[in-house]
Amino acid sequence: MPYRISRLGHVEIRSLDLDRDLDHYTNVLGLQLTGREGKTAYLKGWDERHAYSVCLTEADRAGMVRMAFRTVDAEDLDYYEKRLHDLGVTFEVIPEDYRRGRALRFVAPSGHTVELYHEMDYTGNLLPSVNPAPWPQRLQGIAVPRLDHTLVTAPDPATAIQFFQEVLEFRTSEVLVGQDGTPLAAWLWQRPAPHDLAIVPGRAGGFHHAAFVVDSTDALFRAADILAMHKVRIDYGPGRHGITRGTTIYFFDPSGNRLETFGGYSAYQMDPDTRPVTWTQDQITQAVFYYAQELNETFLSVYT
Amino acid sequence: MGQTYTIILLPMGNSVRCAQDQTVLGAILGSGARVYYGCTGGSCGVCKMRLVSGQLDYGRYSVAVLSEEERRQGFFLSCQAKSVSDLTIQLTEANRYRQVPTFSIQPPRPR
Repeated sequence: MPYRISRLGHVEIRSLDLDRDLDHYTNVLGLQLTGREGKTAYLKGWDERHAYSVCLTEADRAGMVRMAFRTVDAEDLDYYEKRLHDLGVTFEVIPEDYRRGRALRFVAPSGHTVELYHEMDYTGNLLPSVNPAPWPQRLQGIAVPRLDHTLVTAPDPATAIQFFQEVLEFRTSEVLVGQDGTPLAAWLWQRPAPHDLAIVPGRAGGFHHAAFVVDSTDALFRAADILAMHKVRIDYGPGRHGITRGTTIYFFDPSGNRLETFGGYSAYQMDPDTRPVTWTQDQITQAVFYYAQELNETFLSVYT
Repeated sequence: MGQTYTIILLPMGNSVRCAQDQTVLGAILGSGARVYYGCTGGSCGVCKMRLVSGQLDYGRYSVAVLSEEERRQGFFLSCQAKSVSDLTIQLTEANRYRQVPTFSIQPPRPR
């Protein structure tokens, strides 16, 4: 099966106060502000090469507006348009959006608005494309290089997982199963990384977190220092997940959306023939928090 | 020193001090107790409490987790709300109020 989706391209997250939250996203998380139009600000990590990976939109509540996946080629968008049509998935074609070309928009069984697109303005990263340094100086805060993945909630996770596996051809890296073997949660990938999208049980349309890469354990602890210096509410970490082996810190933006710095690339890479790892529900505490070996009060119950 | 207020927590009946610009949650945590709270951004709703008497500044919060009707019934999000008078608050089991062990200074042993 060819790879037709390259990655999670962007997420749109709601903010209760855009000016306040932009300070967090640019000075603490350290994203680059690349545009602002109306009630939406557009941001990206310093090593991302397209115009944005995060849209932050002021609203009367928090949570996720949409997640958008970028196809590998323009033809792959046509492929999915035909596939959605053939499989009877209701979708609309969005001719264009801010600095982005045509997109397919539909609602997944999890209740989330999902988009597929290919074209977005190619801006390059913050380094020259000829003889670049390894990283740019004068970055702010944690200075995450890029968006990694998102985790969302679904009232019927098995159906939602199946939708992403069958319709959008996500592969599965890891799965948490209930006593009868039914998937309760799954980690799904398109890039050769542990996950681009994960689905866990919860409310329809719920947003558990969006994760950004930190590429070393040193960077993870530096991120924890910066979060604590800014008195950011940390939910968990620095720590490690059993699932994906990822090293992690979870924290909340000022509007209460959970974000993560994820050291996933130190974990493992996927091959086309890598078979899923299974976690059983009786081991959920170490599957989730490998070191603590117990859940905290908030991680599975608090989300926007 | 700015204005401080007294918050009486029912059903225990104990009180905590709340500084100006401190949230109700901040005052309770600052007293050395714990309650169940989540995002501290006014959007997850798990720190919801009920006001029995007094005046609050409700702060900024998600309308998805605190409806107008709930607000009329006295509910507020403790991570956002600030006192503007002395308060009395009714806690329930959902708030999971408990004291946290801390340092204690033992009286000197008799010789």
